[in-house]
Amino acid sequence: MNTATHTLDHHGDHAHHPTGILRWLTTTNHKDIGTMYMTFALLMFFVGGAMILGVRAELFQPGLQLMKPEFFNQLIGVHALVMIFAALMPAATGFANWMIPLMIGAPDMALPRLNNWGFWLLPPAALLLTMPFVLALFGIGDGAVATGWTLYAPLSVQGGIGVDFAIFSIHILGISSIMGSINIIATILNMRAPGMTLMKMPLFCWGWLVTAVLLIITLPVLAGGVTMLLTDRHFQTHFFDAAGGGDPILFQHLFWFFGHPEVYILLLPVWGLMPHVLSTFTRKPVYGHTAQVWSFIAIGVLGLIVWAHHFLTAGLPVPALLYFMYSTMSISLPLAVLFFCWIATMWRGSMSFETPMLFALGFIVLFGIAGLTGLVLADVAADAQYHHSYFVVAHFHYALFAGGIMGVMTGVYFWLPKWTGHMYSEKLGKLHFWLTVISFNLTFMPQFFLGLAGMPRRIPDYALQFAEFNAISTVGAFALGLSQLLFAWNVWRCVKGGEKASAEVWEGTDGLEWQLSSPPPYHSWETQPVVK
Amino acid sequence: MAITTIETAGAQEWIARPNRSLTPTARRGLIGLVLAASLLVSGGFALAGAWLVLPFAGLELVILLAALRAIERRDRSYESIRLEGNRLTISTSLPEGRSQQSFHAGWAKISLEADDTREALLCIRSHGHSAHVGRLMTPAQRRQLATDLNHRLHP
Repeated sequence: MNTATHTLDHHGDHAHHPTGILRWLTTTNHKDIGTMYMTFALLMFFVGGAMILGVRAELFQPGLQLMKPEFFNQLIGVHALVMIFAALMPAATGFANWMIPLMIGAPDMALPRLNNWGFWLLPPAALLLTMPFVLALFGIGDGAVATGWTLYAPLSVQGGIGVDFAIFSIHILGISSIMGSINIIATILNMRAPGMTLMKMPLFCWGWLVTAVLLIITLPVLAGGVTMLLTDRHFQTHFFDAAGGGDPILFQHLFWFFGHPEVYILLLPVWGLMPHVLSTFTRKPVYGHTAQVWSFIAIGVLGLIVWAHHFLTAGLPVPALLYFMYSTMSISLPLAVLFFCWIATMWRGSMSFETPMLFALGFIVLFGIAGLTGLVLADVAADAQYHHSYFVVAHFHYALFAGGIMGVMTGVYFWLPKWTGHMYSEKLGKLHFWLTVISFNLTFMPQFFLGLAGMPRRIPDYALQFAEFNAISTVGAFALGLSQLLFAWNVWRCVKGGEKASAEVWEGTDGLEWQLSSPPPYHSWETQPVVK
Repeated sequence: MAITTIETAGAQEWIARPNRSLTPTARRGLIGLVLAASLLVSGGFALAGAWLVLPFAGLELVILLAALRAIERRDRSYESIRLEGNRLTISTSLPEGRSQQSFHAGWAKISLEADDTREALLCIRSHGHSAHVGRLMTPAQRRQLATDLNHRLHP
């Protein structure tokens, strides 16, 4: 993309904003809000991570050592909800807030106040989700939601107050996501710099545009589903009660109509940022910009019509099984186009291996494993064997940790110097990468074998034959968790100071965001850039 | 932020509007698309017995429409400086309200003056009255317009 800008006149009165706590409470600045989203996401990443380390500690050996099965179930359920709704989604939204206005040449998001509200709904929602743990300590209720993040009826209809807290938390998180999505759509469509047509728009913005549309289409279904659950629990309705004429499978349809696109909601922003990173560190233009845009759209559309592959064993009619199997497998086509474009971008490039590039390469390899094992699970016959086994757990962690979280880390290392104006420690970054990749595989690769051998998921105790792989997995999980402290330390050091970053930061960058200083001025793009 | 200059016989007008990349047609298309998708999905689930999806889909559409309406209102903002004969007329339509002020062109003084906002605005002053414009202009555009106006008014 060739760009031309007017003289950048950004060193005027940019400090005219509230300071201290008031700045963060009242801010409508997209960078401040982006920073708050990212900080919140990092905090919740450690909260969710600590929960699952408790689970892995229990699973280190067969038998019950550390906790009651009820508490084990609560940790698993809240871990998933926290990681998905309070860590990964806010991290991606933080990227959107920071980068979309900079990338499209807009001075801020289209609806800044809505942006502020969207963020400040998150802390109370996270509090609601985790509060039942604390209440249980005072003898109120029986702890947090213990149904897994899927909240399947009738288990959730019979559950304790943790389910109610989770329902209200999901409602608040949903409102926050709707606000964020509307804001992102309005910003991308209405505030692009003159000359930036949709097909010239950076792929990261395209990834987020499709994500936002998916959220808008699917969130009302989740909201309706959990509200029906609430009325079944407290107002004597029978939506999901077979004895009252209801249908528990209906909840699975409602949940997964949101839940499957949610996977793409978490991954599309990451797929959008990958080409920027690969192009920068191979010193080549992005290969197949248009093909990638259409792949995003195709994945978005297909993602809306494949939801029932998550419950192929629930007794669906055979035509439905065939439809959901083939439609799910068809997603591999646009995804293969993306993989091809990523590899073609690197082909014969002048590659260098700074930390963001290492994470991007790790992402491609490990996310590829997620894609291939997903094909296995999409097959109706194979899924009959592997459904609800540790194979599924391993598969979706390759998708959401290697795909989602490592993608987020790619973006953080890539843009952190731009955000802070300082370079992070490359040595610590590389150490973080290698420790993460090794310990991640140590944690989750054995889980594929556990699943193939028949170990069901969500159980606190297991047969002796699964002991070795579980022990290895637990050692890996603790190493993975501890190595993330390096990440937090590196980010903190970079925020506090370090070598000054130039405006371009990396050799080989392309895009409007790199024309601004590092860090960008508080009010950026007051002088409209023009894209040629 | 775009400035359009209109020149007619004996009059010249500078109109500043915010830069917007979404046309009214595209905005209607977006609303139609979301409405259709929302109806299809929520209608389908309502037919399957999950009618409680409908109010949430409706609520979401209301939020979307309100947001687009707010943006549309802001998009209609403009600042106009019209020089006709010896009258210099400043008209503004901004989210905080509309205003119009006239000055005698021969007496009007043009300067860049910081007010309570963070950037120096274009100030037109005469006979104890003043008007500030330039909220929809970039600093460079304000400087250029100040030069042009001074050149026109006091050649």
